[in-house]
Amino acid sequence: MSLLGDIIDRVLFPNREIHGIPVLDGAFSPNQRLDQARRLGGEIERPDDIALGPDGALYVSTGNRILRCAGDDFDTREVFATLDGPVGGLACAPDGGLLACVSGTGLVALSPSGQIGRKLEDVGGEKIACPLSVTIAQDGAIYLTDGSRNNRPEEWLRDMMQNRAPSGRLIICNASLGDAKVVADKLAWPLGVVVSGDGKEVWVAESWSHRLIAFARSGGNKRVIVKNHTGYPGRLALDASGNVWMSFLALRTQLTEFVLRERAFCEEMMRTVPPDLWIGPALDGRLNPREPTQIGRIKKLGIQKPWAPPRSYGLVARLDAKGEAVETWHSRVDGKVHGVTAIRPVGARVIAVSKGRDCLVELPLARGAQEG
Amino acid sequence: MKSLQRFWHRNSPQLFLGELLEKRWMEPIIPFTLTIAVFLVFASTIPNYLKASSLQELMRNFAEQGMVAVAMAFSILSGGLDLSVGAVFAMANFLAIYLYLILGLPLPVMVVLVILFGAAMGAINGGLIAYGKTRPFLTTLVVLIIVRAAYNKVTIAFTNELASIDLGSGVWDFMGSGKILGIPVNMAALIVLAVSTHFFLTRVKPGVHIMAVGSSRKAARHAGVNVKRVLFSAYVISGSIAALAGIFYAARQNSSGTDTGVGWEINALAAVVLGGISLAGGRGTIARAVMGAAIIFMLISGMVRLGISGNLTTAVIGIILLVAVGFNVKWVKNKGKVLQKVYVTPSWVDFEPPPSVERGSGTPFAENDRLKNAEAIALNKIEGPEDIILDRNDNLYTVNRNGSIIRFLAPDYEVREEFARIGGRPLGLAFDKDQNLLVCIAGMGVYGVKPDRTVFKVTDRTTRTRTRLKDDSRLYLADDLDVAPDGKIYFSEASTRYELADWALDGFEGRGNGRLICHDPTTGVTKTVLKNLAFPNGICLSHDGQSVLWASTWLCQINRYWIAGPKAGTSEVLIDNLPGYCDNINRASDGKYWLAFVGLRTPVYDLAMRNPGFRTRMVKQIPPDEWLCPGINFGCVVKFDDNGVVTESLWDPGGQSHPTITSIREHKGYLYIGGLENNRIGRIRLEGADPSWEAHKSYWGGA
Repeated sequence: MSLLGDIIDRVLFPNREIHGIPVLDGAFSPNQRLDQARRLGGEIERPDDIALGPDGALYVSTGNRILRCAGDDFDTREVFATLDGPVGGLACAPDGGLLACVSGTGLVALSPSGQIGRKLEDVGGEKIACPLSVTIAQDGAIYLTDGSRNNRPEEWLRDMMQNRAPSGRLIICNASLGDAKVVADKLAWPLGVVVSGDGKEVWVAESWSHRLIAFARSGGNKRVIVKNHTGYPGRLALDASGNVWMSFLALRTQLTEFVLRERAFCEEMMRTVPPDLWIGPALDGRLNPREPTQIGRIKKLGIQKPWAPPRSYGLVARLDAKGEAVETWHSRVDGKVHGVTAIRPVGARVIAVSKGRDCLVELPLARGAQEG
Repeated sequence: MKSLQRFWHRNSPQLFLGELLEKRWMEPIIPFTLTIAVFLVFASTIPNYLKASSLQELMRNFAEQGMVAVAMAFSILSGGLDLSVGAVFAMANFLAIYLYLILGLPLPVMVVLVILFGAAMGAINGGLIAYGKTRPFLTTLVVLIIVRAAYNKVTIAFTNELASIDLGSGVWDFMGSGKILGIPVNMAALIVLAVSTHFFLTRVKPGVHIMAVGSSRKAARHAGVNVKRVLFSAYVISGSIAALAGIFYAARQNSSGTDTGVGWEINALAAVVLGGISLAGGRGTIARAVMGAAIIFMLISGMVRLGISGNLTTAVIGIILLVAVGFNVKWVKNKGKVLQKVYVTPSWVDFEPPPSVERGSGTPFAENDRLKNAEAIALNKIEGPEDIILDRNDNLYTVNRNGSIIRFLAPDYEVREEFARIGGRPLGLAFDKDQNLLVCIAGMGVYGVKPDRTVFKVTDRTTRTRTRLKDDSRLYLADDLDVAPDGKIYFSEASTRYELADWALDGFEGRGNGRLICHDPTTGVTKTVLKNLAFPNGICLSHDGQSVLWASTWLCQINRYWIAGPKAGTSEVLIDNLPGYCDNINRASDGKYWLAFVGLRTPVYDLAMRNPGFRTRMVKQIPPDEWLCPGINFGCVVKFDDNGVVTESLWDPGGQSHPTITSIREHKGYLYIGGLENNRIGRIRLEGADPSWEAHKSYWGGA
């Protein structure tokens, strides 16, 4: 019957996109390079995003706080600011101040000393309750993404499993957080936003529709750069040579996609089971004895297979000017650096934020013993 | 409404359908249906078609064609082709008339000579093909042309003699026009031939070898089959059967015309293909060839009787053949897939929320670190020790996934030796009174190993369920066993629908597919004690020897089956709604019982067990590696008493060294831990346990 349905579907909607999960192949061929990454300093509790200040310090959002981390390995840490809600995306303004996405509030500007300044709390009369990421263009314009009108950033898994019509927005405002406008609406959890190297486009990564899209800054329709990723795309960042880096929250699995189709089961699961035990992606790679298990994850002779269906995974990619991945770093199912929410080039180094494993790591950039 | 749904899922007709499709006799379902359909169509369109005389006439005309199809089937089943059957048939027809009616040889002599002729033609075919390594198609085509040409020559040469033949004896007439129980003689002969050749091909060694060579020449050779001789014999048999058909045809027609047997090889080939016999060889039955022949014969004769023109008849038959063959090929090829789609039939299982296993929750199941520092025995020297047992000399026995029983010698268990190699997948272990090691073997049954290492079979079959389509007499998945004081062996068969590798599918069904079986060594009788149990796993005799404790893995229950006392023969639930999936049960030194949890219940899987449709679709839509399964990466050990009260639990948090625990065995103050998928056996010292207690003494007494 399902085959018949497929055939009818193909005939009636020949142009409908087939949205199966692509295999990890080509530039995405698995390796262990993310596991070989060096940890920077000690544990940070569930870090979400980082931003490099003009003073060379790294600002890290964790819970309601922003930490200022100095030193070669950013291991001298102090609390920079404490806010009203969980802090997500960060960006450093040219004047040394910081822009922070605060759950339930919107975009908050912080002075170089950590004092709370202006806020952008609504656009077009609607609250910005789910700010995810912020980026600043060369000309000073600020781009902000609002993930969803239904849930806050910390309820990302619920938002994904609810599978509602996309309701995220891309918002632009000026350097003083004024003159806010909605650039694009109906985005599916736009977690990543970056202005392209040539300054002409804004690239947005939509996590729940697994794609990378672009909007011309001069106006015009959206352009789909990559329409179907294996994972849930996370934050984007630009390096000095104009390459875009992309992080992935986790990989899609057949089981999760299946449960997303099984609406009744999914709704009942969300109603009756605690969220950390749901079927779905997780940032945390550590096992909970009561979490759902898949056949391929059963340990054989004491070994967790790295190719098992991934509940959590670590993956970052360097993209070329066309948006295609040219190099990737993986931490596979048996690995240790999972749930990467952000990746930022810092000078010549590239630092990834592993929210799942509570740490910052520095990617090994030299190609060498990566094939494993 | 809910109970109705539950009833529906428990007794779904899909179960019946799945087991029906599994039957081998379901393969020719398409030709069989078509035969019936064609017959019914003509029966309703042609007047008097069903009258006895009409049917007899049909059968009489059909028999020889059926025989030629059987001859063709032999060559095709052997992996070749015999195009010469039509010509050999015609020549045999001529020879029968010539030898018997013209030369006047005695009937038996003639029959032997004619069949020898057919065998000789077959020998030419077979000799060239088997020993000369020529192509069957070309070889038999050449023989066809030569024999046909010879036939045309001799029929012309003997035209006068053939025209003025005397009629034969009574026996000859009986062969041509007699009846046995209302069935024409030649038809009766076809039936005898079909039954005996079917028996030959499936039950007799040379016949089975023909099928084996047809399936895979290479595999047959590796198995020690003389491939050349078998091929040769297949063609000799084919030729002989074609000659036999010729004799019956001669007896019926008493003439030998120029068109006798023309095109019969094509009809026979079409019949065989229509019947669903694979042209690649090795797959198919004689019955299919006969069915195929019957379809073609009925179509041709029926259309002739309907007065349809010859050309149109041929075209219609061609089209029907094309459609039927295409459909049949698809069916044979995809039957397995259809079976796969309909076989798994999940049932509806409702669970209450289980007791908490959270650390510090205060329940006896609360997570702790007691197994964390378990000493590893046999690390990486063992693959999948599902069960472990210790003998009176403290030696440790366990099972390996390659089908052998491994022994580690006391006192340090460093020396590893293969105690016995049986095969299958050995699972549960037990010692009987004479220190024979009894073992349940998935896929084989229950076996035993004597102390001198000789292996003997205990039992591999039980009583068959009469009301069930599937033959469940053979033991599919014997899982664990224990021995009662009177020497009777009680063992569990976890599932009668799935093999061990498919345990997860049985779990998705959650239905009572398993059994509790008892074998009495004194009488040698094995009989099923309890049926329809949901994955009965661990088996343990209670300390008082009055009852058998058995664990239901999917229902997370411990049950008690009374074998003695006032409640003998009844079963009751001892503990329900455990937080983990139960595996083996064994006696503890303090009069209680150890129970292994192979995995922990997860809220999502419990939810899935209430949703049969969800599980069905999951099995159909996503690959096996991705299926949601019980959380068997985390096990623990618990202890319970005769009243069904759980008193304590032992944990390895995170499942670092013991992810899946399937077995525990207490011995002289130590607890030994085994796992179905593990690479080690764990051991911990039990504080306060009797350091002299051993299971053998507990069962059989003695110092």
